[in-house]
Amino acid sequence: MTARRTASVLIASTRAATGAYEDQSAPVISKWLTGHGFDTSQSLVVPDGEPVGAALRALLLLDPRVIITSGGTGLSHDDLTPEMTRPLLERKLPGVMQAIRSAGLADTPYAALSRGYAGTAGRTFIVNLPGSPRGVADALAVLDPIIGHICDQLEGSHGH
Amino acid sequence: MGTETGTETGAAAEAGPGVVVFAGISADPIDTAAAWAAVETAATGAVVTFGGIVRDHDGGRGVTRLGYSAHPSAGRRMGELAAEVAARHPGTRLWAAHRIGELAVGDHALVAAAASAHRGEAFEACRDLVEAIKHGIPVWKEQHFSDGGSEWVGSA
Repeated sequence: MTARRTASVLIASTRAATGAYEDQSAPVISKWLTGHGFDTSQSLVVPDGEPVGAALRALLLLDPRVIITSGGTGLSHDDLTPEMTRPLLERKLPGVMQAIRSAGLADTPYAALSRGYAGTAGRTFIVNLPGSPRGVADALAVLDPIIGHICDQLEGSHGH
Repeated sequence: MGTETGTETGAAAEAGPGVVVFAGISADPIDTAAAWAAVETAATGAVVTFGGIVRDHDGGRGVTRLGYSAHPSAGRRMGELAAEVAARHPGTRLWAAHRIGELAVGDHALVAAAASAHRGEAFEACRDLVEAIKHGIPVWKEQHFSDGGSEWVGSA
């Protein structure tokens, strides 16, 4: 019997953290992760900027298989999620972000402005999604057929 | 807290992510009312706050004032610790600030607040937050005694 894989959703949003507005993306991502068999109980909402790096490092100590961030990938001055993520990645997966941006471009040209990274830190897959619910939905559709294989590879259990 | 026992509709909020509203170092006096207001939302059934206060004695000697110094990494470390606490307590909203600089007897050195749908989680999260910060951040204090002496000690 194998333990249930864990995943963390990290919402980067100053307005959501202060309670000024209810984040729409976390429930969507959590539901998607649950559908893929992940336990998502260790999820966080933090303000944009430095707190995102602090939260990522804290979550990595818990060794989840997946961390999906949402928000802070744009060009506002406190949009620093990519800067907070990049130093933690041991291996980058630019092809994943390329696919996510391509999928997003079908909906909006703004998808080209998302600066997020995807990659791995230890046995954890980290991916930066945009904050908009539509951008999240497009990205999850891209991840849908590959998330299981990513986790299999990180766990070293090649089933072939 | 009056509505706490009658609020059973917050199940969705309880299962939601832990929230770090703020965690950091402050060179200015900390506003405890602001901490409370920052963690409370319409889904809140209980708020627990903590104040670590400069007292007038330590180890049998009279204390007149304290000087707190923090390593430059202290704010970042506080964010990490608060995130760990939030991950351990889903559905809670956390706020914490540690003061640095010169403090007088009665001043707040550490203020923490935790909000949750129910009181149990708010109490546990606030205590967890305070203990994590007290034991985990690189902050030191110089105690000035009423007999004229002084000594450096860890923040706890």
